[in-house]
Amino acid sequence: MSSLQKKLDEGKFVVTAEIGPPKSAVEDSIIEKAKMLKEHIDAANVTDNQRGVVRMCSLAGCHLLVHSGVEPVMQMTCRDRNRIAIQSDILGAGALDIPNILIVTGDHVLLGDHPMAKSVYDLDSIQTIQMIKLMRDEGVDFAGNELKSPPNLYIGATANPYADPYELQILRLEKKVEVGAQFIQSQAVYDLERFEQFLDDVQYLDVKILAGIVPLKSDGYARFMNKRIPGIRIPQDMIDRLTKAKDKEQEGIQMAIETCIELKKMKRVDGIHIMAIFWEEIVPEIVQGAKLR
Amino acid sequence: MIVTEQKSFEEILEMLEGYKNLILVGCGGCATKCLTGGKEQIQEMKQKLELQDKKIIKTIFIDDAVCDQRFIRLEYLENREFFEKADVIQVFACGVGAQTVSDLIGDQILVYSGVNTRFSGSMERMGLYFERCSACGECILHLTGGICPVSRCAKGLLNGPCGGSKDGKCEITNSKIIESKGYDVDCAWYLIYERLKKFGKLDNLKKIFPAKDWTDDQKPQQIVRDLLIEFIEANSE
Ligand code: SF4
Ligand code: SF4
Repeated sequence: MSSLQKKLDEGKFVVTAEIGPPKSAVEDSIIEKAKMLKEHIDAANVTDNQRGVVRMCSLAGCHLLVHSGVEPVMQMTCRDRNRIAIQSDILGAGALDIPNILIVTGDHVLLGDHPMAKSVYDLDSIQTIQMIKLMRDEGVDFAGNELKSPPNLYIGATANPYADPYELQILRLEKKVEVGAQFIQSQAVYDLERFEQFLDDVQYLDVKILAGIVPLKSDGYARFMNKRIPGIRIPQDMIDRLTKAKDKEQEGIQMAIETCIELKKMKRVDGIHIMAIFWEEIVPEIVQGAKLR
Repeated sequence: MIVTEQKSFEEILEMLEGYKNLILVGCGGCATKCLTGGKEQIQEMKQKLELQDKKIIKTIFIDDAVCDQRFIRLEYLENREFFEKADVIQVFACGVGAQTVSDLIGDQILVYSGVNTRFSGSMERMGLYFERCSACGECILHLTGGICPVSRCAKGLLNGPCGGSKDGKCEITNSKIIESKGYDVDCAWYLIYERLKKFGKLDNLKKIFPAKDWTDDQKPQQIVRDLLIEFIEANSE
């Protein structure tokens, strides 16, 4: 049973963090990060070859988290697996006591370190959620064959208030919830006004919303993100603030804390998801600084 | 049309190493429009190969299209003596054209392709081609404003745009690879949205598109029309 689900259903404000698995067959870094974050978060996401860069699989990463006493959220993209492979991983996740799953479309291979790879996208994220719900609730696979023991997963999806066309992004989220998404994680929030508008526009949806936070290390990093990371929109005044700062990292952390404080005030926000990409050690500082827990 | 690019002359020479007597085949269909297998390109190729000491024993130009096997069959019946002397038939038509020739006489003579076949696309003008269809076998253009998400969305998504769609452009526009090619890629879903909005048909997108059935896309496909079966039966009686 997912304790993340339990807490969200009870109306508790939650904090989750992203753990990027290593490009390595040795698992120390995940266990180390789990130890570091354990006391500060409710669950941790393990990314699935994020940005199309090859890393240890999220299934193995989540298994390591279970053993380190941190509740995992298994991220899974539609980019690299067809419906057969996805279902097989879902069954594996069930067998390894992974209670949460988060489905993302997945950044295109052209943006990653294997641009020569063939991308799959047999299903889109909506169809994938549909399939997982079917497996869980009906106890059958996507072709209708019976599953001996269905997996019990709390199903999450993503939403990006900053992508275009805005109206279709809302519609897509509506579809995700309609087919079975129970919680969503937003793309990194910087522009709070647009995010509030988004929350207003999706108010009627029966879904828990975790607001995404990606702390910025420097103005150069912010500009890189704007240019190369899909779906990111960092306003110029935030970049300028980093340019002017003496200690850019500290300023980035401070900005993340300020955003978290504002987000926590918003009624429709049920939690924060911190994606400190390979900078996980700052998560405790943000959680404490913004009094998230 | 099927959009092709001619292979580099070096690559063509390399595959022809050790062979002297050649037949060149050009195509009046797509390869002419792509400037890869038209009359001029075949003539030019002939001259270049002759300078490399190759003997072009015949050039064949199919005005219609090489992929209709009836034409190449006719050529073969009429010019058998040339075919018998050739080491290689070098086809300047798409991969379909090359295999139409190889299906007919590939067990007697080597059939090579002189082009790389890239995609099914449209031609806006000579030299400008856009991929437009992946032959998915289950066309939904009537629902998507005449814009195909299967071939024009970089991820082939059916239920609307991914989170990487920004200012009307696809997220792959920001990859170094597309940047180096020097063009932008429109987000197909942005185009679909604008089009459907114009016609007041955004409701088309409200329904959830189910997972695609790829059965009719598993390779190799073939089609046998009833009319053909009827014709054969009528004539065998
Ligand atoms: S939906 Fe697209 S790929 Fe499929 S047949 Fe129609 S145009 Fe071609
Ligand atoms: S940005 Fe648009 S075209 Fe590109 S993958 Fe996403 S939805 Fe498809």
